[in-house]
Amino acid sequence: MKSKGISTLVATVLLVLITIAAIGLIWGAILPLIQKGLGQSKACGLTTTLKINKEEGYTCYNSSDKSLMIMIEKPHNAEFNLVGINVQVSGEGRKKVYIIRPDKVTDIFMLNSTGQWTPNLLLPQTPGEAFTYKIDTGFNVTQVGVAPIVLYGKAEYICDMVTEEIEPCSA
Amino acid sequence: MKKRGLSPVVATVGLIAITIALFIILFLWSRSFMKEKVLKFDSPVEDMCEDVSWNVNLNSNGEISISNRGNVNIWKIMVVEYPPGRKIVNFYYASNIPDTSLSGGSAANFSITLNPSTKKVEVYPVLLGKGEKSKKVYEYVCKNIFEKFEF
Repeated sequence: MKSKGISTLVATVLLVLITIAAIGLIWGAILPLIQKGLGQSKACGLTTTLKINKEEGYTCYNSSDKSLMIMIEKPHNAEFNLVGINVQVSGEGRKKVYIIRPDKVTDIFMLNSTGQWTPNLLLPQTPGEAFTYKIDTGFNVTQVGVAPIVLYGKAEYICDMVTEEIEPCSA
Repeated sequence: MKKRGLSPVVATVGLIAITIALFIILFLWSRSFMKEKVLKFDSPVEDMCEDVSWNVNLNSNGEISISNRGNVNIWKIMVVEYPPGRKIVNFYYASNIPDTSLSGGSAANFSITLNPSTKKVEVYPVLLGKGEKSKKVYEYVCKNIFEKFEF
């Protein structure tokens, strides 16, 4: 009887090719996903958070010009390379995200050492340091969240967000 | 009929080996999240903060004079100042000489630069400790021991 189907040699070559293709797929698509997840967990430890400082009275919402003042602090035990801050404001059923980065021109202002609002932004790098920022939101803010953008290796990661309720500024 | 496949012994050994390997991988991975315990005189450095006894004075010329009345060396000080809307943190060594600690029973001046609009200054002692396993030297700020000056 004449046997049908593919020969052993062809079957072996096909199996080798399928294996190589599978390895290529894992290497190219799945491995970066795993590495990204591992990088995120390494870059964003338990202490990789920022604090919204409400004690000094500089975190509040100004309803007259619809702007948010927020004092953001790098906590004392925090050791990470901060390259930006992700600020998420919400209120009146709206949500908006702002990025505070010294290397980007934005419409966010910072209180400088002479007490003036400046567009030249700095970030709190030393643990314990804090700066006040002003964001023109255009709507009444009731809640704000801040998340650090950290540089770990060559990649940037957005770590855990801390949220706080916002009170109106006293006149 | 001839039986095929792994024997129960080999299968059990294989399962145990896989479990141990997974446990080791998880343990090594989780270790990177744990912070090393910092010791000073074989005690946790945070406990030694309780033994810090000092007199702190802020002079009108912008100098902080400190006398260390305890027996714990103060490696340096952390000065937190509060100009409007900001919180600035700086570290200073005794007599502005780097790596000079203020030993027990001695006194020294710390020349600091304050922002003219500063409303409040807090001074914290910084101690040196060693990692329990790595023996790496760590600086530890005693956050519960501080002196506050308001203007």
